[in-house]
Amino acid sequence: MSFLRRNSVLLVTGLLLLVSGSLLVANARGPRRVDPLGSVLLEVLAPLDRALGAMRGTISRVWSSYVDLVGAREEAAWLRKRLREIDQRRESTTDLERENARLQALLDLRDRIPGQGVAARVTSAETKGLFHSATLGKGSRDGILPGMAVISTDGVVGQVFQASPSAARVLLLEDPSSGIDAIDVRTRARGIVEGGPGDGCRLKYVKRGDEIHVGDELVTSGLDGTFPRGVPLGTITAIVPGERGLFQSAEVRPAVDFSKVEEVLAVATAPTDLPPETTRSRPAPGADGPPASAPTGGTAPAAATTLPPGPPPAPAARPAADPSVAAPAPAGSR
Amino acid sequence: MRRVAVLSIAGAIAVALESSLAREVPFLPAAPDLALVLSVYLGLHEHSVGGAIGAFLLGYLIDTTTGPAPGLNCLTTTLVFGTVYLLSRRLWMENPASNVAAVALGEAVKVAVALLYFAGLHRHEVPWLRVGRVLGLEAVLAMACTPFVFGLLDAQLSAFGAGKRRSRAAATE
Repeated sequence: MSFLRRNSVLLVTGLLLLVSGSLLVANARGPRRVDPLGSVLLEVLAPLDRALGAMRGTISRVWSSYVDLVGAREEAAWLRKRLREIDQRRESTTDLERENARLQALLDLRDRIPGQGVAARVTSAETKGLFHSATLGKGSRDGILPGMAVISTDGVVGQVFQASPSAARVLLLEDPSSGIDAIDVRTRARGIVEGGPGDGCRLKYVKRGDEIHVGDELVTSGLDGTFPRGVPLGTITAIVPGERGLFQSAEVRPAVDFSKVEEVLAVATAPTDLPPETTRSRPAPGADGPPASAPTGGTAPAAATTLPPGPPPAPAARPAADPSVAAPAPAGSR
Repeated sequence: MRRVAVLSIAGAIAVALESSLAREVPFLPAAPDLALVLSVYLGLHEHSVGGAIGAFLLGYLIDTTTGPAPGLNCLTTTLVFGTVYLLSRRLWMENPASNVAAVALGEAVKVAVALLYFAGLHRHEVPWLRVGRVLGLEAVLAMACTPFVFGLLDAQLSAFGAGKRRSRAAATE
């Protein structure tokens, strides 16, 4: 009896093992389930199972919602990325269309101007420093040589002052060293457009008696032998007050935004008129003829394009001034 | 009596969790074998006939609710109880590491019973990969939650004034 009490746990365990083993063997032998208490327990546990099933459903729904949320977030991220790509592609297409239009306009310009024109892309432009210049992606190998005029579809850009085989540098119109013979489209008054002391340009050496007004448009006169005639230079924005002497001056806003110009045409041409449609602003009737205010008595300034130290401009860019006139000679004098 | 009540409730929760809820947690690859962990606890601390019956009932409940092979789990839990009971009578197993080791031993017993079932009784080809994967994962999860389950049980028993019993080996030291 004491043996039984001492080893009761082991005996009961063994008995339960026998029961378990019997249950296992009985159920392994046939397809029918032998489980006398199983159905009772199943019935007892049914409400609990239903409650657990409800909890299971809740957990499942919460988890599914979470997974769906994660999926929606990922999908939203993917859609945002796709939208960005489409936007970039659309921007790219728009850029290409704009570039195409610009190049087409440049091509038209080249077809209209006399002489040889070389289209080039502006690779960089320095418009904020002391000197204003730009670099072209083509050079002497492509026919761009120092002294050539550089124009865009908007107007005069400047003049080439340095060229290597594959690049060229352009002195921009608004550089203080620049000077181009100009003519007022409306009044035919002549002068020289130079780089101003600040931003923009200045029209100088206009005879005191000639009429110039704010808003007048200026074009190249073609007399300097470098620029074709009739290319827009800019618009008069202010008359410089308080000047004395033979000449008057005016502030000029350049026709070209030099920081935004992308494609240009380098032109080596004889001083020949451009067809009227070349210019963005239509000259007044009679503008195609000889300058209405052609200097009589040699009072008009000499057309000039002044270049910084370096290769001298084309000889044609320095038409001889009338030596009999004591007019300021901008060419190389500043 | 309070001790029996606490352990019964713990057993019911363990069976419910193991048979139902834990299997629904999507990120859990398997359900931790909580019934086996409880059997080990009983083997360590319930050196009585009640402990053996409790272990058997745990397995039987699992068999009833989830098991396709009645007898398999109750055989396992009873065998685990007996093994741990015998060990704890001779070895000092009152620390977390030995508790985890006891659960690992219980899982080994379960693997052996499963293999015996497949190979010997059911005459099936032993699905080694499946047995290894499922039971391996269950073992890892069971061992991982052993300290937590044991701690929780001890805390509940203490809270209800039915502190855990020390094993005979621990008592004699």
